[in-house]
Amino acid sequence: MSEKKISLFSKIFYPIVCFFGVIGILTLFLFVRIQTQNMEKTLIEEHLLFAQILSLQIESYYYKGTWPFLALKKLSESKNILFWRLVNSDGEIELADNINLWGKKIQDKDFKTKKIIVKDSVLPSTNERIKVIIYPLRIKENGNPWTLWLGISLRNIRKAQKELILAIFSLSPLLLLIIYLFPFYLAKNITTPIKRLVKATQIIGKGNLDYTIDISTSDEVGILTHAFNKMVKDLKNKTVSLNYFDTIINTMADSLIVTDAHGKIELVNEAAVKLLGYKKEEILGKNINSLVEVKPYFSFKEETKKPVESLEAIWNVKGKKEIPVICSCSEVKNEKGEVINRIYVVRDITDIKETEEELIQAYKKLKETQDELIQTEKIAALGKLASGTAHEIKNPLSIIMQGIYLVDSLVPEKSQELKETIDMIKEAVKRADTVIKRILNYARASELKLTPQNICEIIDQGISLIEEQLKFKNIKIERDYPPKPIFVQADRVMLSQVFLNLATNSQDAMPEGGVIRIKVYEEDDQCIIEFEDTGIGIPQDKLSKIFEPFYTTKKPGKGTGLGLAMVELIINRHNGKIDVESEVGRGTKFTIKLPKLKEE
Amino acid sequence: MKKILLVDDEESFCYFVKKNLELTGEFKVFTANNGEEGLEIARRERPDLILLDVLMPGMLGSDVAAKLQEDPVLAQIPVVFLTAVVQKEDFGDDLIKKSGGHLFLAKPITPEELVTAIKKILEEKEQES
Repeated sequence: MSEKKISLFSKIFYPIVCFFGVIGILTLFLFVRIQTQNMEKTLIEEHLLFAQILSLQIESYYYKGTWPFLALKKLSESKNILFWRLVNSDGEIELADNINLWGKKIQDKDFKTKKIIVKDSVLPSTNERIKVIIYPLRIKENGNPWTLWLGISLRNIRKAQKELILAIFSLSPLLLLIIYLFPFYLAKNITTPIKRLVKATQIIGKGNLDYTIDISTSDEVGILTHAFNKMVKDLKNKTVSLNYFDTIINTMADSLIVTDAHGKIELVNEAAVKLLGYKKEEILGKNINSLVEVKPYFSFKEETKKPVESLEAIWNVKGKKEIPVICSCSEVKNEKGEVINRIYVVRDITDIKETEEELIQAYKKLKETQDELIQTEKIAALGKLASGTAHEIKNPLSIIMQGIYLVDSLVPEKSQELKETIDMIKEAVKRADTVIKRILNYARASELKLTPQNICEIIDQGISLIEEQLKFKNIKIERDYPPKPIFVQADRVMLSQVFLNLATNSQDAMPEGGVIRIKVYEEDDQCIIEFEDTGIGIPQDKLSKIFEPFYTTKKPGKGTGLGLAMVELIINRHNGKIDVESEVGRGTKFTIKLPKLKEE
Repeated sequence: MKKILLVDDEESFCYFVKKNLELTGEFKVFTANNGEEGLEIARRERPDLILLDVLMPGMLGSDVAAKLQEDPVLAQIPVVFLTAVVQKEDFGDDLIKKSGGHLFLAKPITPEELVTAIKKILEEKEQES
């Protein structure tokens, strides 16, 4: 494909030079030729006129019987006439410039002509090209005219021709200059603006879109230049430079990854480099599948019918941490519909996820607070109801109690059946009384009188109420108290109720006896109380319900279902927390955390 | 025989308590169903101890106690509030002071408990004098 480079200038210049050269030479040749012919024609015409005059003189002298010698002598003197002959009708030379020829027969057949003949001939002596005029006279013998023959020299014409050619040659440098300069100027005129266009194209090709070409002509090249300038301007306005594009993709907050159809990474922006955690040189050319593992599973090779929009996933960048992302993928296809490139835009949503988590936590907290508020509301309502009804229930209960004791006293001799009946009524009344008391207590727990209290004293006070019973049931109490008392802000009566309730529950959980371990200690600004028994334990599925009011696992009549609800309520009212762990068959452990009172 | 006055708007309660206490053979019980009647009986009979219900139509138990305090003689009689409003767990020093140093007993109460409480107060009273 190697093509000989011929410049546009040469293409225009040399043909024109050749053309003008040929035309010039031809023109000169023709000019010289035409000039010569004209001169010849003039010469012939002159001599024809001369021959006519002479013929008239000869004719008139012929009839006088003499010859016009004077005129013929003049004829001999003429420079251009090489020879002359007067030939009679028989072809014999009557008179001639050369006396030797007189009476001789002429070799030429044209002596019989009746018309004027001008013909080329060659002078035998000098081999010179000449013209011969054969002019017929009116003197006729035997029907044939006499003829006057004139040999005309072309020597002067040749001389003039030579002079003309010489003159032309002397002018030839000027001519050549014209022949050369005109095409040069022409070619230059055409090629210069084109050369400028070429130069501009090269400059613009290098990315300099600010370059413009001066327009000096209004011809087609001028129009082209104008169009070119406009194109460059449009290009500058409408398209972006490589640098501009680079700046944009690298300023993007989202990661941009462009791969080929097989997942080979072709382009990454700075955000992507940061996300992937490798050097840019390490990333380019690598297969994206070898760098990133996506959860849930997603292959980068898989063909996507339409762009994947905002696919939330976890990117496990190989050897790095897991990053939560939103990834969208779009495909670049060729005319055949084959995928050439895949473009991934990836957003790191770690921050969003964290915020989301915080939001969830805040919502949870809110829900807890709301639940607590609802619970408090419930308790308040229950309190109002309980206070209102307790008095109305207790009065009839008092009557029943006094009445049944009276019945008991009034009948000294009782049957076994009556005795049992009376006892059952007495028990029922006591139970009813207990329920009412607990409801009242539960309701009143929302109003506490807080004073600094030694936590260990409160625990002991609560347990002391059933300590005798515990001993009786073979339950041992192990205390692990700190040497220095811990003080908390507490309602003495209410908080001791907590430990009474816990101890009662433990007692019920250990019908065969066992151990209650109470451990008190400080942790940061918290007072921790661990209350543990070796009872039957609580199944896991019921553990979450034990603090709910009116939930009980005990047999009817044994529990009110308010004990642990009250415990939690009281602890909450003291800004504390209670947690429970339990294992069926091994025991239950309550952990209470109360804010410690700062020592002054 | 100690004289006990019980003031309570519940007639049947008064009846059962009177019967139960008198069955012990140690007490003579007078009953009243409102404050005014109670004060009248107290002035007339000068009981050794008065059991006062708190919530009653008309005069409240506390009003009756205040009236009794006005009388120098009756003020010497120990007053025990017998009430369904306040319960054992609420008993504190504050409450007792407010009611003029007297005791509270929560309803319902068994006759045995009541007798024990009455006897204890009467013994203390005797020891004082």
